[in-house]
This record gives sequence, C-alpha cells and structure tokens, in this order.
Amino acid sequence: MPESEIIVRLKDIHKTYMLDKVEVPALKGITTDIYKKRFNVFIGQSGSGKTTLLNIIGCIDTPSRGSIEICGQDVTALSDDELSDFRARHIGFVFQTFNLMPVLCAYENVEYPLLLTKTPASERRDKVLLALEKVGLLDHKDKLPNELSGGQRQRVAIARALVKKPALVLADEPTANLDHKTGKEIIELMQGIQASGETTFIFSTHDRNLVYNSEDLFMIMDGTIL
Amino acid sequence: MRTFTIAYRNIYRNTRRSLMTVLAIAVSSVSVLLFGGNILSIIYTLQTGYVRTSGHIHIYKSGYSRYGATNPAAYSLGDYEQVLRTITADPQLQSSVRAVMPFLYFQGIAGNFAADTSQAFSGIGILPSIFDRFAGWDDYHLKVTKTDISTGLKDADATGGVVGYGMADRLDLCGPLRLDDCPPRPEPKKKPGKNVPAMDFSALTESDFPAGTSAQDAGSARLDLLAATSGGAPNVVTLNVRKAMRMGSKAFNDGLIIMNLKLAQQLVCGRAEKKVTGLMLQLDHTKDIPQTLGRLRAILPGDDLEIKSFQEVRPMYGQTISMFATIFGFVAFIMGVIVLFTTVNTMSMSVMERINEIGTARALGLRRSDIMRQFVAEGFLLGVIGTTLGAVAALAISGAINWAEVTWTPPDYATPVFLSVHLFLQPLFLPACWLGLVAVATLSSLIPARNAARMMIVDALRHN
Repeated sequence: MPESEIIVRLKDIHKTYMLDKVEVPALKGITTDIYKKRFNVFIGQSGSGKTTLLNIIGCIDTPSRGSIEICGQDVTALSDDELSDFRARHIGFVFQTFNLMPVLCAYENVEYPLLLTKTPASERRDKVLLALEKVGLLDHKDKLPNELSGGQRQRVAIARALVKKPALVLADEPTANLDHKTGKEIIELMQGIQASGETTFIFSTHDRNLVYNSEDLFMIMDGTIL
Repeated sequence: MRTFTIAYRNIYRNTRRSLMTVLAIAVSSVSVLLFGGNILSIIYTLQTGYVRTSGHIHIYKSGYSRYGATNPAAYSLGDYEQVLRTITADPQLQSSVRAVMPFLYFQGIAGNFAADTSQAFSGIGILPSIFDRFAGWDDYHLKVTKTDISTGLKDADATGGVVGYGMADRLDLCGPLRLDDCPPRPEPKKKPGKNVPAMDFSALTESDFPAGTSAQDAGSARLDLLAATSGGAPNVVTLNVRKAMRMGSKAFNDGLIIMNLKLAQQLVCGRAEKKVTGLMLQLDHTKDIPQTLGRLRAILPGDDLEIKSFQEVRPMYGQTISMFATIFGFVAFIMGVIVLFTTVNTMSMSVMERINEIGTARALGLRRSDIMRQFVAEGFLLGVIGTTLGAVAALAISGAINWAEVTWTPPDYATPVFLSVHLFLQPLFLPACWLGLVAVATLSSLIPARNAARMMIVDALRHN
C-alpha cells in the first residue's frame, strides 16, 4: 500500500493508567498503520486495550508515550482546542451506549456536528435528511431518543457520525447494547455505508462472529496487536 | 450553536428542580424589589415633605448656619427684597424656580389666657399664598398623606396663623377651633388661696396693627405670642388661629405656629428694620438643584450670603438615605446569596446528571469553552426566568399595596403616611435589580460550568 493511503499511523503507542498507586499498562508499544476507506476491526477481550486504543485514535485521550498521525497530522502536538476542532472536522464517533443528546430529536442530534463545523443552514438540512435517509430513519426524525428503540438510536448515532463526511468513524463496540439480530443489521449498515463512501471505519468488538467477513482485522491482546 | 435552545430544554428537562430554582430566584427578586421600592417611596416621600415645607434651596446671611441659632438678630437677612428681585428677574432661574419665599424663623411663648395655658413654640412667618403653593409641589406624583397640608391662610390676613393639632390640644384650643378628635381634657384643680386672674397682654398689641384690623377676629381662637425682638426687648402680638393642622413631625405638630410674615416681623423686629431669616426657593424638579445653586452663586454676592440645598440644611435627609441604602444593601446581599447557592446547587446537580453528555459533546468536537458557555447559559436562563417572574409579581404586589392605601405612622411622626411601593421612582432601580440578580445567577453557574468543562473526556464517557 502506498504511504498516501495511510489514514492513521501509530508509532510505539504506550498508555499507562494509575490505579491508586499502581501503574497499569493498557497499551504496550503499538505500532501500526490503518488505511483509508477500509472497514477495520479491532477484536479483543474485555480489558485487552481496544477501547483505550480507539480513544487515542479518536483524539479523546492521549498516549503516555509514542506518536500518532491522523490524516497526516501529528495529533500529539495539538492543544486541547485544536484537538476539539480536529475531532469536529475529521472524526465521527459511534458509542456503545448510543450517547444521543436526550433533549434533541433525531434530526437535531444528527445536525449537531454540522453546527460545530458551522455548516450553512440550507446545506445542513440537506445533509441531515440524507444521513437520516441512509440509516432509514427519515420518518422518525422528530422523535426524541427516548421515543426510539435501541437499534433506532444507534442508527441515529451512525447518521450523526457520518453526516459531516468525516475521514474516520470510530465505533467502540456499537453492538454491545443490542440484540444479536439488530447488532448484525447495524454492522451491515455500517459496512454498506463504508463500501459506498469515502469514510474509513474503525470498529471494535469482542464478538468475532459479528465481523467474520471483515477485510482488516486487528487482534488485540494485553495491550499489543498480535 | 443553539446554546440557548439546548439550555432551555435542559432546564425544562428537570421541571421540578428548575421550578424550585426559578421560584427561589423569583422570591428573592420580589423581596429585593418590594423592599427597595418601599425604601424609594420613603425617601421620595421624605424629600417631598421637605420640599413642600421648606423648598429646595435656602439663602441665608453669611454665617447663619454656624451662628444664627445663637444670635439670630445679627444673622438675619435685611435686604431680602433686593435678593428676591434679583432671583425673580433672572431669566435662567425662571425656567427652574417654581416659587421663592422669604421666611422668618423664631421662638417664643404662646399663651391662651382664656384657658390659662401657655407653652414655648417655634414660629415661622411666611407668605401664605406662596407657602401653600409650596405645599402643592408633587414632582413624583406621590400620595403622601390623606391630610391637606396647605394653611388656607390669606396674604391679607395679617394676624392669621395655624398651629399643629398637638399644640391646639395643649393650649386648649380644641373647643374654639371645633376640633372633634381632641382627647377629653380633665378639669384643672383650683388652687386654694387668692384667685389671681390671668394677665391678658392683648391690649399691648392693639396699637401695632394697621387701621381696620383688630387683634382678635370673631369666630377664631386667639393666642398671645411673646418673643424677644432683635433688640432684646420682649414683644407681644396676638395671633388669630384660623385652624389646627396635622403636621408631619411630632415636634412640629406639638410646637409649631405658622403665621403671616408680617405678624412674625411685627413680633421679632418691632419697629426696627423688617428682616427675615432667609429665602427659600422651590424648584420644579429636584434634579435642577446643582445648576440652580451654580446660577444663584453667580448672580448673588457670594461673600454676604450662604446658599444651601435642602440636603445641606437638613443633613438628616442624607443620613436617612445612607441608612436605607445600607439596609437595602444588606437585604440585597442576603437575597443574592440565596440566589447564588440555589443556582450553584441546581447547576451542580445538572452537571452531575449529564457527565456522559458532556463527554459525548466534547468527543463530537465541543471545546471546553463551549461546554462552559452551555452551562452558564442555563444559569443565565434560570436567572432571567426567575427574576422576570419576580419583577412581574413585584409589580402586581406593589400595585395592590398602593391601591389598598394602607397607612402607617413613621417614628416621631404625628400623622400616618401611606405605605407605598414605587418601582419606577428611580428609572434604573428595576433594571438594575433585574440585571444584578441575573448576573448573580449567571456567575453562580460559573463554578459548576468550569467543573464540567474541565472533565476528562474518557472519564466522562465512562460515566453512566
């Protein structure tokens, strides 16, 4: 693969947490490249370090040591505000617990990232409706999160992550709070969107059965990639 | 960002807690506004009372304020008519001065020899028509008392005067003046021994009155007034008491006699040059005092005259304002503290409940400052809603209080005054209170907002 196809470059990433006075290493020198427009899956048991790695790639956590480049930018050198702006422009998140804003309806939740990037109102509306249509929730756009099922909420979260057309979408165990059938549907939805677009997906799970047909699998165990 | 939309929805989300917070802010707002409005009413009522009875500006002979009380003759104003002419002829003063009046202040002994009673009194000689014009001053449109404070005296009535209700009672004038509400007076016990008739000095005064007037008019009560002339000799005149008035202060009610300036000069000056204590000027508006003082000092001989505002003449007015300002400041501080703690508590609870949302918003790209702004906006909205509700309630309550015309008698007052609450006497009062409490609510949310903004994203996202 050429260098230009690399979207995330991890170099010797270490992360150590302090648990009381005990140092707990979560990542132990991860070095790897992640390529554009792929559906990348990190598989590992609970506590293996995949969430920590996704948090670092998502610029919501910083490594104890090592460097990380995303879209050619060394994000370890960015200030907190610059990281916020970077996330707003380049990274979409799909969380395990959906994490929709409870006071905003489906439409407004999807619109939220576009407000952060100061997208003009007319353009915003078209993008939000398109994103909701892609996830099949156009008819539910005025519903609040508590009026939607778990699967529908996660679809809204996917639409929210995709609406700004980010370079990278991070989905940390997005199916963990869904039944198996709905989980499969969500993964197929994301794979379908990824296949038809420019976005790179990084997906984490502990259930190999969900992603048996994924092309880019990263096995994580005890803070290292096998 | 839809900061205020989201803030409003978050407030609406926990209705009961937000309602309690808004109510606490509203109650604080009502308290501050009603208390402040009542203080404003008291201060402006006090000012109206002063201005109605003694005007805005006094002009004395130089040195009067220091030595006039001990040597009134030496510090009386002799050429007051010249000063009066200078003032009334000045075109600049004509636009601000409502009325000018010479007055003579003195002390003496009043005797009702028909009833064998006498007492010391303070007397003031005035021009009745101008004095009653003074009494009509109402720049603030306040209802002060139910009592008519005009004397009803005529300028041509050279021997007429009015006394306070208390004085009328003490001097046993209730019967002649047909005062119905005087308390019953016990019959005096006759002393054993020689029965010496009371001396009636009225005969001494007859020759001093212009031809055609008599010392006692039919149908009025009579008092004989004894005072020392400027030369130090005792002098006596007869006053025909036309009515008894309820005067504001108890001291005035029990011991003040208002009379025609001519009679006062007759008593105090005798056959010497007719002098006055000073001149009082009443302006159309109190706010014109500084410019009028400046103009008066420019056109009048500054070395010979003392020109003072009523605040300088009556320092108690300023002291009263200071006292009320201190009390109001204390109450406003307490209310501010209540708003502060209520808002801090509510916003802290809100932050605790929304840790996961804060993490999500930060992950999506909100800066720390955006998170802070979000929570401060909620505090601001709580403040705006609570304070506005409080202001509306205060307006309604103040309207009801003023409509009810409840009266009360202030300390050392003889007559009741209306208990009133005026929120618009000072145009900035209501907006300043509103802004102050909104500012407190907004600032109160800064600490919880700062805590929210400083959360680590990954920790916040882990929180459920």
